[in-house]
This record gives sequence, C-alpha cells and structure tokens, in this order.
Amino acid sequence: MGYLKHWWKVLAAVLVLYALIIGMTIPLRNGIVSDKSSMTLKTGQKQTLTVLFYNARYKKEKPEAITARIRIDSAKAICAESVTITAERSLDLKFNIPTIDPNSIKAPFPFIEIGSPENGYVFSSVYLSASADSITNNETSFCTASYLAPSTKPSFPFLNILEESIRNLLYHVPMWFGMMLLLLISVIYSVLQLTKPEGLKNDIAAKSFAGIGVLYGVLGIITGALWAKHTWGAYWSWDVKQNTSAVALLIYLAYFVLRSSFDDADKKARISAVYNIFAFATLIPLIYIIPRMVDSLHPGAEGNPAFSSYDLDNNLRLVFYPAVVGFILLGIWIATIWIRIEKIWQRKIETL
Amino acid sequence: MNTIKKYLLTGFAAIFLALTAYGQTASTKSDFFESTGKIYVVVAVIVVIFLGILALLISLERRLAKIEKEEKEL
Repeated sequence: MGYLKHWWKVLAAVLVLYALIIGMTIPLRNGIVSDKSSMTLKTGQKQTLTVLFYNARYKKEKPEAITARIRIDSAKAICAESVTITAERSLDLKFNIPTIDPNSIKAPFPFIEIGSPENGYVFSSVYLSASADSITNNETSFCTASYLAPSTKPSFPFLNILEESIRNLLYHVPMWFGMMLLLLISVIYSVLQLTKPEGLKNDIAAKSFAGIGVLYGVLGIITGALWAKHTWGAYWSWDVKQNTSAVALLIYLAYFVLRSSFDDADKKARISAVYNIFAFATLIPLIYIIPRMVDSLHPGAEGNPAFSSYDLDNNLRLVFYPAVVGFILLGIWIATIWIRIEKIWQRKIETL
Repeated sequence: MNTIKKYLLTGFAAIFLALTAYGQTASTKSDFFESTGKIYVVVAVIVVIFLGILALLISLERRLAKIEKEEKEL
C-alpha cells in the first residue's frame, strides 16, 4: 500500500491534464465580430444590418426563433422587423429605426442583442447616427425588452481581440500563482535554516523551491509576452506588471548568482537564507502593491490585480482553479525530486 | 552526458526543421498566430510551458548522471 502516499502526484497529473484537455476543448460562446462601420445605423430610416458571428450555428435555427433588437434603455428596444439567415455565421436584420436623438441615449445603450434557442444570447455595441436623408419613419414605436436566455452548454466567454487566447488565462496565470506559492515555501525553509543552522537540509529545500518558483516566473513572463504580442500588439509594452515581475525575477536570479559565489557551505546557507528573505520581502510590493497603484494593461488593475472581468465566469473558474492547484502540485513534485538529488550530492561531498 | 547532447541536438534539429517547414506555409508570423481566433497563441503558450519544465527535468537528469558517474568511479 506504499503507493497511497503518492496520491498528490496523481492529483497533480490529473489536474494538469484536466486543465489542458477541458481548457482546450470547451468552445467559446457565440460572439459578434462585425466592425464599427458595419454596426452603424441611421435614425429615421429603414435599413438592413449584416451581423457576422464567431462560433455560431444559425443554419440550425428557424428565423422565427431568433429575437434581434436594439436596446435603447433598460426597458425599451427597437425590434428587428425580419431576420434572414444568410450563412452559418451571418444574419441579415431588417430594422425600421424611429426618429430619435442618438445623443439622448445613455451608455451602455444602445447595444444590439440577439437570442435564439440553439445559439444562446449575444450582444454587441451598435452605433446610431442622425440621418440627413429624407426621413421615412416618423413613428416612435418601441418593443419591450423581454428576457433572453443564455445558452446552457458549457462555453468560455467570447471577447473581441482576446478571442480564443482567453484560454491562456488557464496556463499563463497559474504560472504566477505557482511562482508565489513555491517562493513562499522557499522562504519558509530559509527561515528554518536560520533558526536551526545545523545541517544543510533546509538550505537545499529553499534552493530547490526557489529554482522551480523562478522557472515558473520566467515561463509566466515568456508566455505573457507571447500573449501580449497578439492582443496588446507588442511583446513588451512596459506595462507595470511586466516591469515589476521582471525586476522581481532579476532579484531572484541574483540569489542563484550569490549562492554560486561561496565555497563554504555553511556560510552559503546562512547568507543566501538572509538574501532569500530579503528577496521575498521585495516581491510582495513588486507583485501585489505597485501594480495596484498604477494604470495597467492587465485586467483588474483597479484594485484587484487578478482578473476581475473574467472571474465571474463560472466555466473559466471550473478549469482555472484546478489548473492552479495542478501546476502548484507539479512544481512541488519536481522540487522534491530536486531536493533528493541535491541531498545525495551533499552526502557525497561530505564523505569525500 | 553524450546521450543528452545527442537528445538536445536532435531536439534543436527537429525545431529548426519544423520552423523552416512552417516558414514556407504561412506568409507572415502574425498572420498565422492570429488566424482561427488566435488559437495558436494558446498552443505556443502551452509549448513554452512544456519546454520550460522539460529543460528543468533535463538539467536534473544531468545532475543525477554526474552522481552516478562518480559512484561508478569509486
């Protein structure tokens, strides 16, 4: 029954696999990809709006089952007179826009919302402009905005620019969560090394956990730069979080440089433990405090440094938290192997 | 040690071949990464994480090989 003690390694593998498989296979929700110019309507005119979608299957629907309307305020809407399914991912909506003053509509209105049984609920900004042409609709008749049900199938949110790369949340962010926890474990071992200076057991553990923690941080920076290239437009935008995390990693790299500069093992253990505590103490303001004080391209810069705009999405959460736990356990697993190798190495040096 | 060098060389050769082959199919890099809803950005991120963990495992294996070698010499 000796295998039972390895349960957490099995859990690590299962959770990381779950994050990879489920995180890559759950489809994105239906979303509107039309640009601003094609989403502009003139007031007082009859016109057709061609809307293009992402991940939609409108050929499965009956046109009568599709509700499309432009919301003017919390109760009123302009309903489409007819809906034509032109392709799997495109709809033609005929609107008869009444004469209303576009400036009288307050944000977030007006927006278009489309609901149907198969494809669920989608909405997007729409732009109304006062028409200089002859007015064909003098009526100001509105329909009431009833509730449109979202799709019940599991899906991730569709956000413009992010698109499928929203899945990176499940792989890039766990690197940072993992780094923080592994470095915390490392600093605990450093404190233990200082309180019980006999032996190098705790020093070895501190070094190994810092090593895998820094690896996670480096992977977080590289994956973040890749993601930034295709969403923010550049690998490095000098965003506050990019800068502070790069500084934090440089401080930790100095920890390894410091370690390699000692010949005496006890001196090395003591001084690098002190440095590790210092490094962790600077990590807290760099990762948790400064990013909250400055504007950032990262989501949730206003108070919450994590990802407040998505953390309401339950489907992402169901994969994100297991991914975090899985990558942390994987890191601890690798660290324990590293510690065992270092301990054998240490014993060898002592016997020689 | 030699076997690891061999593995590393094969790995680099494979990456190089894959990159040249891919350079001939896609017109520009950003076009490829931003096609099909930017899914290849996610693929690249997963590949980077995998390669990073793999690199650490290779360095651990080298350390272990060093210990084993000295064990034999004793």
